[in-house]
Amino acid sequence: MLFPTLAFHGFFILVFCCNWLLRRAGDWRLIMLLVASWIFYGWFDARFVALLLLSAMLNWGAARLIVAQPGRRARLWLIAGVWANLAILGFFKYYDFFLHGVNSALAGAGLGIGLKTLDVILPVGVSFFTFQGISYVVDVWKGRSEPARLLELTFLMSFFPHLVAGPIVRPGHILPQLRERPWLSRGAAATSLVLILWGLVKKTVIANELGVHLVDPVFNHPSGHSAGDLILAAYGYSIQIYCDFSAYSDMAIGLAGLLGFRFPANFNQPYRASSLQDFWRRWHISLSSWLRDYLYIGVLGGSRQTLLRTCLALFGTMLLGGLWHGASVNFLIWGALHGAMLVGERLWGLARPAGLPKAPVWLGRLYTFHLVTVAWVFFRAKTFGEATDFLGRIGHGQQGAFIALPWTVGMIALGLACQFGPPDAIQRLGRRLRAMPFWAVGLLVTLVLLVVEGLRGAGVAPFIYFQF
Amino acid sequence: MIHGLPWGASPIDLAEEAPGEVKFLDTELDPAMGALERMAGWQVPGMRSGLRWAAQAMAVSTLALLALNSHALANWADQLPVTRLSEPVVALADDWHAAAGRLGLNAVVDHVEAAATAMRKAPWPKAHR
Repeated sequence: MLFPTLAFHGFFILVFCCNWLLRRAGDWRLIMLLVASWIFYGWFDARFVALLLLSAMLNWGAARLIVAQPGRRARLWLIAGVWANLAILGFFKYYDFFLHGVNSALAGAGLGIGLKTLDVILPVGVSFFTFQGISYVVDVWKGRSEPARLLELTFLMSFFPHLVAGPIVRPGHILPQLRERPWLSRGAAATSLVLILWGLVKKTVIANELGVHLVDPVFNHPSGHSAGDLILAAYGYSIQIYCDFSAYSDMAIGLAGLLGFRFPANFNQPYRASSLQDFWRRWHISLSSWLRDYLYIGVLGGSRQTLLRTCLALFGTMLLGGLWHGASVNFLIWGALHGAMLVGERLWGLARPAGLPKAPVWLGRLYTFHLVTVAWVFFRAKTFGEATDFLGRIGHGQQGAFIALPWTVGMIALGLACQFGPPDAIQRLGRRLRAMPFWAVGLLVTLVLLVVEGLRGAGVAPFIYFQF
Repeated sequence: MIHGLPWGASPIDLAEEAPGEVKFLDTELDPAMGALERMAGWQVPGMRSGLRWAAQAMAVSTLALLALNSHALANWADQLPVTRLSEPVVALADDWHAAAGRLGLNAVVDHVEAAATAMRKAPWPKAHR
């Protein structure tokens, strides 16, 4: 079930009513939301609801054992819990990729034996809910979160707004909210509505239009297009992926907000970042902070070690962050590019002569945006060769068709303009909405939805991040 | 131990609604009330009516969409699997779409659709000449 569909609209209205009717019903409200989340998830593939439940039970069991047996045994249960999550992720996401690699190596060595691949179906959102499971067992072990009841943990991992594409919510942020009676202020409701509407516009208008009319045709057939088209398609993909993914996050935060839950921000105008480090503080914040806390600091030692080890930790974190997106060499390259540039920025920060004037902010933004855009080419292309070929054609100034029209270029400009508006634009609009009577808000919401319906053409493509 | 999401960390948090120390002046405190609700900035106008306001706005919007967005209803019905149960739903949705068209209720979506089609095809000024 996709957010921008009529089926979801009906589903959400029903869940909204039940949620607030059960406001004082304690666990029954959570049970209702849990069942609703399973229906939502089962819409994609009902078989994986059992996987979701199994994953929650594993993490709940591991945390219980950690709390029950403090000391060295707790550490063993922590390791077992983390590995159980990684095993689920590894099997569904990387098993076939790994076997293809082994088979290629065997064939290269002249051995005719090939291991059989299983054509494993990737459960939607598996990367998100396994990361949530890992953060739960680690946080319980570190004492950052109280142990949850099975119902609470299953709910935390299954709650439909964030289930398939994040944000990755921390147990310590959400569990206390489950234990309090929900409430909804007018400001929170208004800001939630603004987030949902703005998310719809970004996804169904900007991202869809760019994908259908520019990015997909050019990336699918780069040899038939001019260098101008290729450059615009690369810019277009930068905007498309931002509008697609941030739209999902905005809608997830807004939908959760209308149900009385506060989710953390996941994007903060990432293309106005003036360095790559700044970019990662603004892009997919819940994943980058997860990688920082649980991998970079938690496993690889962070920055309180020798410079060489710090750089290796940084590079390794980004490499694994790339691999998290999917079993493909291209995602590894994408992660490696980001890792190398982050290391480069760190070293430059240390080696930079003291008297050297600071580069203007606009130059930093230009550099960061273009660096990120080049890395997105590796993210979007199907193979490494396809990505280098794409960039090579730009470098050679290839002649060919030019399909970019003012409409699609306008969408790129609109996507970029969002980055440079007031950072609190959503809250400002929320305040304006809050001051309006309910009927005016209802009619305004209708008008926006009608305009979106007219603009969105035929249907809505799935969100890009569903595949991760 | 992390006790909940700090105020301001969620995009739906408004600064003036931040929980304070003693903002709740109601003498009949509800024991089931959570910490944030208890300390919320209730003096902000209209804050207490958030749920009613949101529910009413959504009700107005849903009814208005039923009347004015028969496109979406017809598209949804057309994608339903063909069964004995879905047939009357599809017929009803199509009939309503046709009736809404006759009544001029589809005008907003039709106009936006036509404008979007024209804008998608609009060439660069140089090519136009």
